[in-house]
Amino acid sequence: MSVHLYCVLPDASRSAVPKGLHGLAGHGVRALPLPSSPLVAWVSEVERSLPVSIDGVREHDAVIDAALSTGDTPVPARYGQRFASDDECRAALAQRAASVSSLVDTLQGMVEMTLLFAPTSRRALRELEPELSVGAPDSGMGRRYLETLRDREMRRRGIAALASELAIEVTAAVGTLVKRSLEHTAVAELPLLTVSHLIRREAADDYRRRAEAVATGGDVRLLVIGPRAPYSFCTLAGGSAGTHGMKLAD
Amino acid sequence: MAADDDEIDTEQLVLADLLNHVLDKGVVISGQVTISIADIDLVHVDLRLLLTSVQTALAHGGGPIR
Repeated sequence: MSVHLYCVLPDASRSAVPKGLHGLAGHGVRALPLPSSPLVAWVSEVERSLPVSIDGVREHDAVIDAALSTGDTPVPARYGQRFASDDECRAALAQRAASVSSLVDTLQGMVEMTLLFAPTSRRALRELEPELSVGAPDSGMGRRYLETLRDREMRRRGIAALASELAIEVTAAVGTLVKRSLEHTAVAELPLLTVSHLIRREAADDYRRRAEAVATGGDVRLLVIGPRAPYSFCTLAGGSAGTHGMKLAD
Repeated sequence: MAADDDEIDTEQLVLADLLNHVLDKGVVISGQVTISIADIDLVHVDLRLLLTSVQTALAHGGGPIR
């Protein structure tokens, strides 16, 4: 077994783990106090060979969401931060103690909201897929293939431009609430535009109202996701970009 | 199957966003994860890159899982 790190919170007394909270593969989540530190880590046991899965990602996120529900703002750990023992986990956090503490302090009272722009319909999505029409053998398959790629690229650029225009409009509508902003590079291939904003927790309802008041339609739709823990704003001092949660080790 | 003019399922979009937030190419992964929207695979290619990471990790002798 190894120890899976979910997040770090301000202190043990105010951030008690909800009774019965389970993490990866159903293992119970527990608080791991960090000696000589006003912080506490939420961890669980996990099999060393446990494969990454969609369920695992959801379970990881559910624990972090439960931490956010305590009223404090957790600093989420990047998925896959596992350690051989509690002591190794403590040591990794102690090694970056000043930076982790600073991050926890900076993010208190904050949450992340995400604007996700995507094609509206399955039809719009399909139109972005390359297709090679079938014709007679002598009808210039190579040329038609290149034309298909060109048409697809023009459609992709058209939808991307629409998404960008909409993003500018929505961002302007919520701008006064935004403390920090980040545009995601999508893992998914879908032509999404994803913009994350760090805002104060109490502004979440206002943010959603303002964003959703911007008229959308046509080939691009808008989803407002959040409030969630600030995954996108967890860069440790001197560390790699923390746009997927806090990263303690390579 | 839903009609082509139907909206893309919101739950799938939210899942795609969650993966974008939580996963990174540096994550060590085993197994295969593919999600699709409107029958189009969204993350398969990138997760192949993640799988490549596993092979790279093994080639370097493994070590503690982090």
